[in-house]
Amino acid sequence: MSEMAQDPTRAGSEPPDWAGEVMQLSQSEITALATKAARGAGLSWGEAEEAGWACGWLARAGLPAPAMLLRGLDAESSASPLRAGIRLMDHAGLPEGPCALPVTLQDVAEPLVLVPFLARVAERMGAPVDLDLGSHTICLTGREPVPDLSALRGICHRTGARATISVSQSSRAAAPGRFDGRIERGVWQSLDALALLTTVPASEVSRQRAGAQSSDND
Amino acid sequence: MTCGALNPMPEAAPYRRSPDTVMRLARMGAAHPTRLSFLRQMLRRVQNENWRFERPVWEFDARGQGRAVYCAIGPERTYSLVAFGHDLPDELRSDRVIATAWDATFTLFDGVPDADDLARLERNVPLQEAGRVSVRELSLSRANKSVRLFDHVVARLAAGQQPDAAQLAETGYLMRTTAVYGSGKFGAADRAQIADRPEMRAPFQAEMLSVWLTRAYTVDLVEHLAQRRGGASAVTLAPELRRMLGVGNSTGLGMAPFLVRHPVLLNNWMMAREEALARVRAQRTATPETLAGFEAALKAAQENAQGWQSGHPVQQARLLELRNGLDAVAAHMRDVWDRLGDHPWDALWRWAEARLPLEAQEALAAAMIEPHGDLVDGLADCMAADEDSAFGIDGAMTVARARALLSERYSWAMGLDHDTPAGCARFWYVSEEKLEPRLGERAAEPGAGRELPLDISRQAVALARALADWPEDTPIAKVLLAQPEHRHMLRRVQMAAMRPYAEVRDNLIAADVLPIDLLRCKLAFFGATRFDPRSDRWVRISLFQGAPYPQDLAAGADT
Repeated sequence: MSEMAQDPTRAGSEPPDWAGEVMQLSQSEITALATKAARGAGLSWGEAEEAGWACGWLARAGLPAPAMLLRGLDAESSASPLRAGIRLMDHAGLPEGPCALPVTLQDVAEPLVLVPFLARVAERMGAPVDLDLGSHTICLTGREPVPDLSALRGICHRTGARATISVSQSSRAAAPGRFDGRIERGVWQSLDALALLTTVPASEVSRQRAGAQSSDND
Repeated sequence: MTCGALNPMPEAAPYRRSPDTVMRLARMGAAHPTRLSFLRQMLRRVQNENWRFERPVWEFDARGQGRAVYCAIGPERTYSLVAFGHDLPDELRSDRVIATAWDATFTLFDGVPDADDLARLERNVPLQEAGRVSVRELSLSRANKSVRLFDHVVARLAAGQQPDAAQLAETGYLMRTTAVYGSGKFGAADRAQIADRPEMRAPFQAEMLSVWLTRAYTVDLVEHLAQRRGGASAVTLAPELRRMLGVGNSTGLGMAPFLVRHPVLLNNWMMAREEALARVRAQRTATPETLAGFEAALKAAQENAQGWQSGHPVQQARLLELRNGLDAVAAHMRDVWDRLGDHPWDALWRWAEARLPLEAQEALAAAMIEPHGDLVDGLADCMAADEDSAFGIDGAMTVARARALLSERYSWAMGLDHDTPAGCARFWYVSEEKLEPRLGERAAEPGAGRELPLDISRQAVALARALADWPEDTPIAKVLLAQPEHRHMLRRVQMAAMRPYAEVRDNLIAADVLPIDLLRCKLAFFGATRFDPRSDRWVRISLFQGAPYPQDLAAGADT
């Protein structure tokens, strides 16, 4: 096959035509990119699926989800908001879970990444859950509808936060979120570099086996 | 199934086939389309709701370069297929996903595109994966000519003659799509954006509408080219020949993982089809109308089997079995079947199940379902899936319960061999090149360290072994904290609790796995016919062959 100017086989997975430094992804693209990046970063497949789902949810809440995920993946394991979120969610219905007693986490990187997991905690327990970050308290009532959290964009990329999770005493209905699919070029490149760690470089053998055994020119 | 609690026919349940019977690759690879298939659902809707069709844009030169817009106007919304025609050199024509140019490229636009939309789409759609679409677009696709037939039809029509019917029948389409992307791919609208619309609720309705309008485009294009070449002496395609043409599709491994990665959807599709067959079998009597409808459907299946060609030795053998099997059904019907007896459909099914090869059994199932629209068409509403709701893991589930679920839903996996070279000969991976899924040979190719988690049976066995080390009353949350590598499988086990048809019950990394079995099953749910494998991982099919065209529906044609 001849090479062409815009040959996507040469372009890796990079979306073309970046308009400036920011481009718009669909929710499914964000979810897929986040899942692969999380897997590439060393999470198990099941955890990577959670990361993908959470990233899609955060984008629906109007937050800069890909950048948040990237910082979450960059964090040390002990400060990972993904591992903490998954753990809180899994323990939702248990005596040591966040619905029995308030749980305080020290030094969480990018603590807003906990939010989608806490939304699922609230759904599972049928009770609203508060995330207290000191300066802000966020009340989650369930997985759906996704609330508008765009006002919290200013407190993204925090590190070393203290987060307290407890059953909420009051349930405040939030306005529904507006999907934000924007992604900066640098964030995309970093996530894509991680995602490519899940792929296998092509060989002649794999190329041949993937196609038909006859010509398509018939 | 999401609609389980509302099932108006609980008496059909005992007639449902077991997942151990249905979810085997060999049987899935013998699947036939039914009236619940997605293209049939789409055609019924546009007919019942009296959709209108227009072609406001048609700008092509004598070489077929240009653009067209086809509008499908429903009761609330309009969808428009935007088509771009290209003059493709033969050496660039490839059905592979690594191709970079095609004879035609398409998008389904949400609404009616204006001049700015068309200009934007013209810059992007011809590039396919290398371009970018927006939330106004619902699909992105491309098609290549069937060169011989396309040229033959143009030449004949230009000369004032009809094309050779035998040639038309042999190929069955003027163009074949080589990818139809939907659901948020390359910037297109996410499924969630349209899933609440009645006309888009069932799976793949945007894609089916796009392909159906593409079929109209292929015929319009040959007539246009013939007219430009032949001038006043050119003729249009005769209606009976036109109807014989579908749209081809060429599909490779990229589609194979879909059914494995969407267990909730797979369950709902299978459950709907199995419930449909069970409802028919549960009928105490057969009415004259359903008997006549069945006879017609069987005859159509026999004709389809006669016209169905394949160059692949495996499929050739199966086609022989299919033809012989359907002839045996016809003979049994004529000479033996007691159609006035008790539960006649069940009696027919039991006879067939004991005697016919898989191809013929599955074709018979489709023919038995066909005349029972009143009984089964409502099941179409159960074929979509809210995968998000099923995604969460219940960490409070005990190890004992998880073990019981494994035993109930995955006992088929426990006896499989995953440790010998043949038992784990293959591995699924994503190629860095164009990010397409491929299937590798574990012993001979590098990359198994980056294996995709499609080795479901092996994961089930590993989970069972891991759970054996934990006390029964341990919550799963603790297991997952210590052994997060089992999270993927544990989620599937919990999903499968309420979904008996969620898993393909075979070893998907075994040496003898045939990826085309997965492709065929999915394509049959689309409504595909004429499956023609080109290798063990590549298949050509036809869509909409014999179906009406948009302009035929106003005239009351059957869907």
